[in-house]
Amino acid sequence: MKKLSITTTFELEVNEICELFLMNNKNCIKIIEILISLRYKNPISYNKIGYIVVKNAFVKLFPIHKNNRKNTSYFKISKRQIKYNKDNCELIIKPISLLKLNTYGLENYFE
Amino acid sequence: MEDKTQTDFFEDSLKKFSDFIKISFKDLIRLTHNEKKVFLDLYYNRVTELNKMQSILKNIRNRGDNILILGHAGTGKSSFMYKVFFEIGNLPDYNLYPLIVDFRDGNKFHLYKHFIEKMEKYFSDINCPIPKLITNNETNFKENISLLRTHLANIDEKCFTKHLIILLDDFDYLDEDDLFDVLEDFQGFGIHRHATLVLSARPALYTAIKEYDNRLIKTFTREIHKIKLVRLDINKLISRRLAGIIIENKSKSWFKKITHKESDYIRLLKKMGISEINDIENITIPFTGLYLNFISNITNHNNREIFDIVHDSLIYVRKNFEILESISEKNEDGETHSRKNITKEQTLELFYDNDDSLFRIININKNINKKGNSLLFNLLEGVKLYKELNRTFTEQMNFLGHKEKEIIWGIKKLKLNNLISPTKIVPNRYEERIDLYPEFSITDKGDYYLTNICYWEEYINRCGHFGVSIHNNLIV
Repeated sequence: MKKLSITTTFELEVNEICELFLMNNKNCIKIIEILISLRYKNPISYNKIGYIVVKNAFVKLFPIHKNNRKNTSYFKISKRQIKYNKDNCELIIKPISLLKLNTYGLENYFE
Repeated sequence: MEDKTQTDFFEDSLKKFSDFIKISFKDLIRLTHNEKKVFLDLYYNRVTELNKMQSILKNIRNRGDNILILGHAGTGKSSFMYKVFFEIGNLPDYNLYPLIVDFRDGNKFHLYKHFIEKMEKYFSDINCPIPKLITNNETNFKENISLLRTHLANIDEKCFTKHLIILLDDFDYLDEDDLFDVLEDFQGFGIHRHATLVLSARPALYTAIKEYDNRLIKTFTREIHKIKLVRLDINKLISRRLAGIIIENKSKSWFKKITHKESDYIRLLKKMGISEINDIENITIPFTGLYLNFISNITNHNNREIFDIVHDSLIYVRKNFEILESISEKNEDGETHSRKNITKEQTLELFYDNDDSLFRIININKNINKKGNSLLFNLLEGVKLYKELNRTFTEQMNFLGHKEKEIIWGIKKLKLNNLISPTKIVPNRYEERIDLYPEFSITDKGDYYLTNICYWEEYINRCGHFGVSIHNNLIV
């Protein structure tokens, strides 16, 4: 049986942000960076969501040994895992070429 | 008796008559220049849909469900939106705050600018003004949109004395590249419990959203109330639009308001025996049932085109009133009325040979290949049969003697003339998940050409024969 990775639209958003980071040559990410991006795009839904919720979703999407450690602030993302997540996702996903930095307020972040 | 009143109706000079009909059949929103009272007086039909909308709006407060208004091109979506927009003002108990955002002038920046200004006004009206908005220019409007969203998210629940309703109109005209970006920007507001998005869409846009992304699907096509606008009865459409402008009394002088001139038509109308607005449907149109069927099919039921074709036909009838043959027909109530019969030959004279007509019948059999087959005719047949432009379709066309370059050109040409329509909008940057073969469906107009007009003797005399039909030469 296929192992599902992305099951909710929230996880879809997290995966998308990680993909944007990876496209801009960053393979490490802080949870707070994801949280800020999420709140920028959709403050109405995600204003009350906290650190732990995002972290749990992130660890589910990227089950890498480094991410399960207790005292880590930088979490690892990988191209292979993102591809796996998207392949096993049953939701309809927007294609990569339509991803934009300014939807998450990240256009000045990578300068 | 009937003939006599009609003769009276057409007695005025031709130009005056033409001007009057042109005004009568103008786009209702442009015609009334956003004057609420005149618009509400002239709007008609759609009672069922309006009742449905009202029942949705009654229960929408604090739930924030979104609404989708679905209809083909020219079915009156925009007019319906404006009607709802104006009607909400008459429902003070519902505590709603409508604002309309339309892409009518075709400028994306204007769309955002108007929206930001209207939202600013909304916030100040509910006593929660937004403090740090930047001056709008073409680079920073996205930041302002984000500020608006954040402000909306942080407002205290008690402040929402009025439920926000954002009506999004004419988004079908947005560029394929910008379309989903704009929708995503507005989607952020639709999620709120105290805000509702009302989107008007054609079926192609609806399918495009449905196959794009789960987040957009949820907001715009899945968890929503759907109102489908059906095509209006053409007979009622014409007679009510004509009469709506004609009928005047002291309190409602529409014609004067619109044209700033006194109208001569009250006198004519009295001769026809109509003095009350309720008598509107008693006006008889001088077209036969078959001719009305021709009008509705050849225009794809598009109201704008219907008005163009009716304008030309009415003037033609007025000009040749004595020559045209009269036929008596029964209407729905069983009353007999005399109609003027416009023959196929006369129709083609009017819309094919005549360069001045607002509506034109096109020549489908212009491009004939070496085998003597018409390119556009065969392509129309192919689209009707296969729907998908796949390999079998191309092989079939090659078999009939059409080359691949010609097929691409022909499909573009058919699309331009609204004979076929794409089943969904595909953005240019949509490379990864693009379907292997484009899909099209034949429109009513295309089908009418294919099954009706192409077999008219008069049409064949003018445009030539289409050659061989695909059905007799199918590759098995």
